[in-house]
Amino acid sequence: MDKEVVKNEIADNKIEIFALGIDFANDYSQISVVGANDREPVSLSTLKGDKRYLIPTVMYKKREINEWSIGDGALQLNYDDEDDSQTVKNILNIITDNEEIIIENTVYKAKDILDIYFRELLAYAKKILNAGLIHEIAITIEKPEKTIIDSIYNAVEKCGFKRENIRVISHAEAFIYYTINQDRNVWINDVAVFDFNDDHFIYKRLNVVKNKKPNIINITEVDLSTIISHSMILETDSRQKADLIFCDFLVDEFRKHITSAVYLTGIGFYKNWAEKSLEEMCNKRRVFKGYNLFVKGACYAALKKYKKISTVDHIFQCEGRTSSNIGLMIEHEGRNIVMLLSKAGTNWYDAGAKVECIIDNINQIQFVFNPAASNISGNVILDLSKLPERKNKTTRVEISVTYRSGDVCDIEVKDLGFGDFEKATDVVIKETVDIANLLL
Amino acid sequence: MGLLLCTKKADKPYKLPETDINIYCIEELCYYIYNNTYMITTEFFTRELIEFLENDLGLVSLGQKLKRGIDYNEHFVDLVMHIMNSCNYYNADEKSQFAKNLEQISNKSPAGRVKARADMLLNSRKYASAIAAYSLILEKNEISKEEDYYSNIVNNIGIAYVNMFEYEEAIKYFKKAYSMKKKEDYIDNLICAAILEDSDDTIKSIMEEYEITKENFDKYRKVIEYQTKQIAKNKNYREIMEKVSYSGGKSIEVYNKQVSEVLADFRNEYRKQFGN
Repeated sequence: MDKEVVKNEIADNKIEIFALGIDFANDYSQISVVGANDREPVSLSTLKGDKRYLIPTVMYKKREINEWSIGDGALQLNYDDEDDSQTVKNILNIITDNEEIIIENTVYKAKDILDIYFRELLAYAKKILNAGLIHEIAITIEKPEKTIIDSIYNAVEKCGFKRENIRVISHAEAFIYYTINQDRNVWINDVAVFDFNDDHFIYKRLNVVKNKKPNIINITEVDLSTIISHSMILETDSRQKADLIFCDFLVDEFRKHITSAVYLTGIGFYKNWAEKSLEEMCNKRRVFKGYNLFVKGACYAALKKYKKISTVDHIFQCEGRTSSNIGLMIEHEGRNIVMLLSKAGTNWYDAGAKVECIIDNINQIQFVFNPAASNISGNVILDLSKLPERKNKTTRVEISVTYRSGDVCDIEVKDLGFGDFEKATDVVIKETVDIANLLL
Repeated sequence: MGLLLCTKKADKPYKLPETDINIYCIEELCYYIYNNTYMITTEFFTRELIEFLENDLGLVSLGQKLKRGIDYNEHFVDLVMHIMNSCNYYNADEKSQFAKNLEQISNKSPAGRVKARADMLLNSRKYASAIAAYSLILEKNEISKEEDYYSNIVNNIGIAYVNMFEYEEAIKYFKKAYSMKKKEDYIDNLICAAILEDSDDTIKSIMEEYEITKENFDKYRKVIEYQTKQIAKNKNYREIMEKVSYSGGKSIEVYNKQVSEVLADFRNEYRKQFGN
């Protein structure tokens, strides 16, 4: 987790970057790459010869000119100012809340801010890396929601990337990618990561369900922010209390789950406050501390795409991935079978499906939802009585599934008529399915 | 019974010769063939159709089968069944029955086939086209061993005219049919057409010419009244009447829109009468 980028010393020749990962958070961003010289992801340091991987997620608009600065440069410029009127912080929140920022009487919409940030970030990365072509890019964020994902795709596309070369994944998924690219002994049993920053303390546990083919890699998340906060570790007394609470949690957790490795990441682990907890962790386990697990995981995700690895060794079950297979009951050679529309473990943003079917003497259709990790299933029946009455087999419909999030999808049936024989109408039958509730 | 997964749809359709019908996919082609069996002859399998199947629908294997079939002078029934068997739009039983019907049609005499086509147009409510097809048969004077071949044709023309509300024309044809062959069906049709026309003079002259009593006419009248009442109970009829009636329960805009929709449907129905 600690290797610095080695700059290619051949003058004027740009380095080809196979995969670039970005960890994008409200406080800090990070960049990691795999280039022609690299066998595994390496983190980009903002200072040559140093290990300064954290790029403050801050933007500064230089006065009276249309130029922006980001990261440490932005912080420095802001430091010299009397106020924050030229500075933009908490960019993720700006996107989520669709805020507008006014600087020098110019209104910047949320998407404008993100466009500028990614433009500057990628330009900065290309300059430091002397990068030429960047093939694949993956951005990881803690909780990918539709608004943020859409905005990131648009912003990165504007930087010259094609949509199919961009991925947005959750921290959970980045954690999986990172882990499965480590030595197999690291993840022979469950693997834990504790992500501790000033606004959150999140524990993720990775376990592999081996009795399914392909194996399922599952992430369970626990929010520890309510029991241990960043402010606690700043004071001596509360620091000790935090250590005890943490240690108790670890004892209980490791009793229930055999854990072979633990990762500690985030500024919350900069200070040495967790002595007892570390002792507990290190008992028959490998423990790693660093700050770039997620960004390297994102880089591994981009690298997999670059290498065009299409074999499915595992199904991922985590934030950002769909939890269920979705099937449609159709007729095939005289029998009713379930046709798979959407597979579990797919990135939900890309997991939609569309098919066209002809209705043969039925007035409802059945969707079947079943999670990858269990044998239970739930059915959703859509009533077709709103469709126009026509002769049998002269109604063609478009059936689509679109995800709103990992667990909520919209199913839709649209009347297409039947060519010149029956004109299409504007009848659309819709239903929103909360998959988690359905399968309770 | 269920959902049938569709095959590829073409961006550019194939226009069936001598029709206004565009075909976008193999399912529509099968539907057309199934419902217009008498229209299908060996000439149906044009080079353009085969190119469409191969290039636009990706049905290369089907295209090759048809080419081979044409080269080796396969019976048109076999050519048709290559198409019907290329997808699952019709199930095994439907295809089997269709194949039998197709055999029967192919075994009919030329006169039988052309009449069957005209009968099919009549049954499909394409009245104007049916009249044209029947009239062509009468013009050509085809030889047929079918009993009452010509009188049936003339009677069917009358039926087509009744469905187009042209009762005066219908009455002429029913009279002609009866003059060719004294069948009870023809006189029944004549009486009904006269009642529907509702002209006292016509009724009186028919009663006199064909020696039909007033009581007999009244029996038919009662049947027609009963059928009219049954039609009034029909769901589609009631929906139409609701749309075209204005009793203040809806806005003028909605009323006008509904009336336009009904008129558009009537226009489409009228146009279909001239279809194939």
